[in-house]
Amino acid sequence: MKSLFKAGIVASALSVASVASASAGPVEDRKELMKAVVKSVKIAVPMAKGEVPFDAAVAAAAMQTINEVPDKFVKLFPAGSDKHEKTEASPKIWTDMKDFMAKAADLKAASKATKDAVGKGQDAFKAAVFGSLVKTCKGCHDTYRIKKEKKS
Amino acid sequence: MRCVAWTGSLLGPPSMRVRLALILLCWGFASSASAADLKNGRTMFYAGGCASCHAAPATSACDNPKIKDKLTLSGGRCLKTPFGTFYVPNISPDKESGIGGWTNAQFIKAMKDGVSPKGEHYYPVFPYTSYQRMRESDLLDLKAFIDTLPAAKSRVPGHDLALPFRLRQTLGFWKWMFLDGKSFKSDPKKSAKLNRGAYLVEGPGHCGECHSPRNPLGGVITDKRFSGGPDPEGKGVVPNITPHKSGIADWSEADIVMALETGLTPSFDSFGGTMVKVQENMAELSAKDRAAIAAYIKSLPSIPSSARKPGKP
Repeated sequence: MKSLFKAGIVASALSVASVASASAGPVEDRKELMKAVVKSVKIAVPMAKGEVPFDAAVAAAAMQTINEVPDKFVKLFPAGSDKHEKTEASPKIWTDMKDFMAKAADLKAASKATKDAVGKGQDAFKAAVFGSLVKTCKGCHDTYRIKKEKKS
Repeated sequence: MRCVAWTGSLLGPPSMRVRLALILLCWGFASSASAADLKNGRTMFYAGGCASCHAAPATSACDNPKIKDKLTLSGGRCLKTPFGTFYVPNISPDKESGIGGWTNAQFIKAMKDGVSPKGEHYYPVFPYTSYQRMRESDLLDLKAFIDTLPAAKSRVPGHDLALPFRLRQTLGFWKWMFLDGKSFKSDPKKSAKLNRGAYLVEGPGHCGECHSPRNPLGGVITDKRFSGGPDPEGKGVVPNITPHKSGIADWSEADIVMALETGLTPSFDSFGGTMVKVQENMAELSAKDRAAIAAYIKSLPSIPSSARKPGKP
């Protein structure tokens, strides 16, 4: 019960729906979605590594959050939104939109697979987090993200 | 193998020709007795990131960052730089298309002097400025490892460069400016771990080739090494990896180890760009080697970022 309660908190804190309502433009919105993914990864990875006690409900909620991102994310790349000063989106997204969409679908599949692995215990979860989920992040960022100077 | 290392250390930095002659002589005596260490060769292969450039791209797009098979080094990747487009050669052990016909001495000359068996200068996009630091025994283990990989035939286009750079002869001058011919020397005042890390980072790992700013001639600016710089292939930046606040001051040694192992930064973002391939290679090293790299990176002098500000050309 406690675990379910925690999962509820995680889910509402990471709510993807709340992101869309505070719309400021596609670049800002897609950054918010990526931040929601990062927050979920931040919950999942320490659990996968055993640094934080494994909590199936919390882990599953984090994966659910990520799972809801791609469908919204792919709608946020209108023509011209590669020109934004702050965007780290590579122009390659617009020249190879089909492949970019496939990468988004990969994230949906990887987060689903990782969520499914939650029920099989911490070892299976760990294998899915590093073997599937994180690999999917890298598998898109290697092509479609351009790193900009970090602010300091 | 030991004989080769011994010859190198005994002689200090003599002319390459003398050194090669002695190595060959030494090799003649030693080769029957000592076989190459393929496990070490594999380590050098992944530390050196050979596949990141020399493995064929996953699709017909020559700039596809993904690779088809990291053990098939048939080349063909294109690197688009301000100097023009470079096409990466085949270094598979195929005798015609690759380097299967090379002698040990030719391999060492390529890696340390940036000179082909035909006597042509290589462009420093091939990071011999770092590989020159490598121990000859490690280079020969690396060659032996590459010899175990699939031989692949391929035809790679010639480089497509702007005029002054098209003339390979000018590279003699470039090397005179930027290639010092020094092998790595360990520092007896530092721990074995730090020395191992320094060797991996400065030699095979060639981290400073991307994580440093370059002058207009394309030479690394020595006193700003590892402070990042504009991405030579695109619009982004390569981050400062020194312990400055504009770099990775807030990363612990364990954070660096974790990033090299998994590709996740301490803020749980993932690596992107070409660092993904680098990280996947680093993940193939031993945990001890990753820890040594992290220790050395943390020991670098703190330098403000040389990466370009966003939005500036």
